[in-house]
Order: sequence, then structure tokens, then C-alpha cells
Amino acid sequence: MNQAEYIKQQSDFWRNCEQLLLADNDKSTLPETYRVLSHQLAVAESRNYSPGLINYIQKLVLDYHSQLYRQRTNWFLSLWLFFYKTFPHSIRVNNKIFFVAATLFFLPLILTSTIVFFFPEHVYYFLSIEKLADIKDMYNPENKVLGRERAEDGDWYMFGFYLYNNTSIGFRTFAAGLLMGFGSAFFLVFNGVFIGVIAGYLISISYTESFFSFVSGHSSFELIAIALSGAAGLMLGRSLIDPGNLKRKLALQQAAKLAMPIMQGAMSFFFIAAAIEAFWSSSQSTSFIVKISVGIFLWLGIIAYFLFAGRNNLAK
Amino acid sequence: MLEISSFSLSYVVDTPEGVAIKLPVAGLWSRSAAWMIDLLIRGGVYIFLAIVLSITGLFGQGVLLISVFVLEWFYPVFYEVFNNGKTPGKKIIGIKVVNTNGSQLDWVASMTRNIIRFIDMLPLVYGIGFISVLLSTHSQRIGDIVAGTIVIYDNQHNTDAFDDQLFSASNKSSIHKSFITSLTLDERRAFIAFAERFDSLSVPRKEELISIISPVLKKYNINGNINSIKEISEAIINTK
Repeated sequence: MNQAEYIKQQSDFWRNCEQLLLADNDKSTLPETYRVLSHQLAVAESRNYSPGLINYIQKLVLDYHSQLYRQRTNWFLSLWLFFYKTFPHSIRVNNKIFFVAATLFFLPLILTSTIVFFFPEHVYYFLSIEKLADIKDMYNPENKVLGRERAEDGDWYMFGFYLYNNTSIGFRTFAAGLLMGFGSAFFLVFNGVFIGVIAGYLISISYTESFFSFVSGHSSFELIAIALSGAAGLMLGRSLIDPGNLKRKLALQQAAKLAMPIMQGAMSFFFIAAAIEAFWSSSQSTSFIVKISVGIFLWLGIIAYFLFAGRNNLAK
Repeated sequence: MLEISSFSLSYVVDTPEGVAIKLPVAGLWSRSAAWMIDLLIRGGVYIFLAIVLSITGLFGQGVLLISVFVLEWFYPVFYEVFNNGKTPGKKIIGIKVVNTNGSQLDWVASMTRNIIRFIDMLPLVYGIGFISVLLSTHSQRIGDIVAGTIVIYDNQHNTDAFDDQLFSASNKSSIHKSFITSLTLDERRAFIAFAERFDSLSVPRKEELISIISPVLKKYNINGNINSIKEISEAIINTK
């Protein structure tokens, strides 16, 4: 058939196809129309119709294709399933790499805090005198609020600050895993050393109470979130170093798919940590005992969550 | 007789329905332009928020920081998931992000490509991303490769190219008949493609394209000006 005749014959159908793509139309005829269009594309190509016509049909086919194969998500259900099942499950499946990340983070943290506690003069290897003075100010037991200095209505400001800062650190720790995993490892060790030095230093100058009363509430969520980001990053790195039977690119894509639930969980942990740190940790009105108890309770709660949550059937 | 090569890169997807769809891959410049527009939009929002929220003190600054966080990391995610792969910048430029199977992005793929953006931005303004887009076959930055996504041109449904073919079925087909019959299939296609793009090409570009085949035209004693080539092209369409 001549191209002009073919266009004449089909143009009404194509106009209809364009209409059907627009929102709020009845989509029940979509699969059938898509099949017809696919057929027409094959016909047009085999009959050597002009590039303009073929491109036009192809664009229609492409739009129908992306409509038909789109993923539809029930947001509430998937959010519930994520915390009930997917997130704790993906930690357990990848527990080895999570322990590696946790070791890379917590071991330097414990080591440096012990060293600085017993040999406080070593703190100057890690931090400058001005920086130390700042930190000392933040945790001075005589402060009205703990942590960074702020005005009366500063809680929201601090929330924004912690959210931006800490989550960005987590994202970077993850993304740096693309450097064969060494980037993630570096960020884990670096943050571990930094936090350890500060903790050791504050305990050595007997700011123990104000320090622990500040960090106990959010420490569980924040420290675990850093370890989680590192674990997700190390998964990317591992797929590049040891892709198994796959091509590196494919191994990396699969690793990213598996690492994303962990990363999303880390994000939600950073969010919770920022909220606790801004609105609860800094208040001086709550007694030390309450704060420590809440802190310990949260640590145990998270560990129990990772150990036990979502162990029953996925089908539920 | 003529050397025909295609400069457009495309990514071919085989669908379950048995046809191959060609995704027209968007290049470095259209992507950069879209990014620049998005940057300006976000910058505008920040300035606006900073001015409005400055009257509310530290609370306002907190809201500003939260907005910066949300916009810097999730602005592209939001549009990619809920607006068919098009951020405002991409929409203006006419490109969009899709999965490498041609389907719309889901939340996981979009988050992946936008967190990995951190690597693409290293060491200076998108250094790694720049190199990656230039080197990869389908103009993907590292984030695209990891997430399995691709940026493609998203033109409107365009019937301009063959609209007038409906009415131009006149009897010009006698022109240069011997020349037309000597053309191979691919060569005919080249002429038709030229006719269809005729209105969108500038005059110097048309002349440049015609100059490529002028030695051949000379052999058939054909005047190589723009209009006669257009007539030939239309004649080819009508003899189909």
C-alpha cells in the first residue's frame, strides 16, 4: 500500500491513540491499542515508509509501552511492608557486610575514645585547639541547652541543620562505595575516629554526664544509620571487585537494587535521629536518669527490631 | 552511490510484543541545559524562601534548611517518579529519564541515580559525570549506569512531517524519472527524510546537505538547487 493511502486510512485511529494517552481517559482499551500500534510499526518498517511516519508511530508505541509497563505503587502499603518486612530482612540477608561496616565504624570509635580517655594529651593529634574549645563549650554542664548554642526558638533550626548535615554524610558514605568500596570504608573510619576522639576527650575532662545525656537519645539511630550507609556502599564496592559470573555493570546494578532498601532505612534513621537530637537531646529539664534510660531502651529496641522483625512469611 | 550514515545514537529496546523501539538518547548539551534550568529554579526558590522566612527568625531558618535538604536531594526524584521522568528543566528542553527498558522510573531507580549524583559531581562541577556521559555508548552518567536508566528525547507527537503528503499526491512523478529509478532503497529514504525535515532545516544546512550529493546530480544533469531537490524528494514519495 502507498504511504499516502496508508496515512489516510489510519490517521483517525492515530488521533484517537493520542487522545487515549491523555490522563483521565478510560484505559481499558490500552493493551489492545498498544498491540495494534506495535503491529503497525512493524508493517511501516517492512514497507519502507518514510522516517517521519515511522518516527511518529514509534513515538506512539513508546508512550503506550511506558504506560503499560509502568510500576504502580500503593504508597501506604509499601511503606508499611518496608518497615515491617523488607528493611530488617535486607539487613539480615546482608549481615556479613553489615558487620564489616559496623566494625570499620565502631572499632576506631572505641579505640580512639579509649586512647584519648587514658592519654588526653593525644587529642591534639586529631583536633585543633580552637575546635576543642568549641566542643568544650557545647557540652559545658552549666549551659542552658546542650549541643550547639541556640536561641529560644532554635529547635527547628537545629532539626534542619542535623537533617541536612547527617543525611548528606550518609548519602556520601553510600555513593563513595563506587570507588571500589574504599570511599565508604574511608568515611566510616573517618567518622568513627572523629566521634571517638570527641567522646574520649569529653569524658576525660569529666563532662561525662552532660555528654551522655546529650547523645544517648539519638546515638542509636544516628550511629547505626552511618553503619548502614557504609554497608550499602560496601555492597556497591564488592560488586565491582567481585562481580561473580556477571558483567561488572550488571553486578553493580543488581547490588544497587539490593542496597537501596538498606539506604532508605538509613535515611529514615537519620530523620528520626535529627528529630530526637533537635527536640529532645538538648533539653536540660529532663533528668539524666530518664535520658540514659531512654537511650538504652532505644538501642535495645533497634537491635531487637533487626533481630526479630518481619521473620514470618512474606506473603502476609 | 551515496554514503549514508546516521549520527543519531539510539538505544534499542525489544518489547514483548515483538517490535524494537528505538529510544533517542539525549546528549551532553541538552542534559546540561536542563540541569542549568533546574539549578536556576531551585536557586530562585531558595532566594524566595530566604526572603520570606527571614521575618520568622530561627524557625524560618530551620524551615529553609529543611527545604534545601529536600530540594537538593529529592527535587529530581519527585519529578522523575510523579511527572513521567521530567523535571521542569528537562520538560523545557524536551528530554526525560526512563528505565533502559523504556518504562517509567520507580522510586528505587530514581533514588539510586540521584544519590549516586554525588559521585558524578566529583571532583569539580560534574567532572566524573561529564566524562562518563562522553565515554558511555548511551550518554549515561555513573548514576544512570548504576540505576539502569537513560535520558532520552521526548518530542511531542509530530505529524507535520507527513501531513501535507496527504494532499500532495499530484502528478509530479514524471520529473527526473531516470534518476529516481536508479536510486537504491536507502538513497530514496535519504531523499524522503530530507523532504520531511525540509521546514526545520536552515538554508545553509540544506545547501550543505545537497552539496554532498552534487557530483552525482551533475552526472544526471540535475540542477542542485534547494527547490529542485525538494521536488525530487516529493516525487519519490509519490511513486511509492
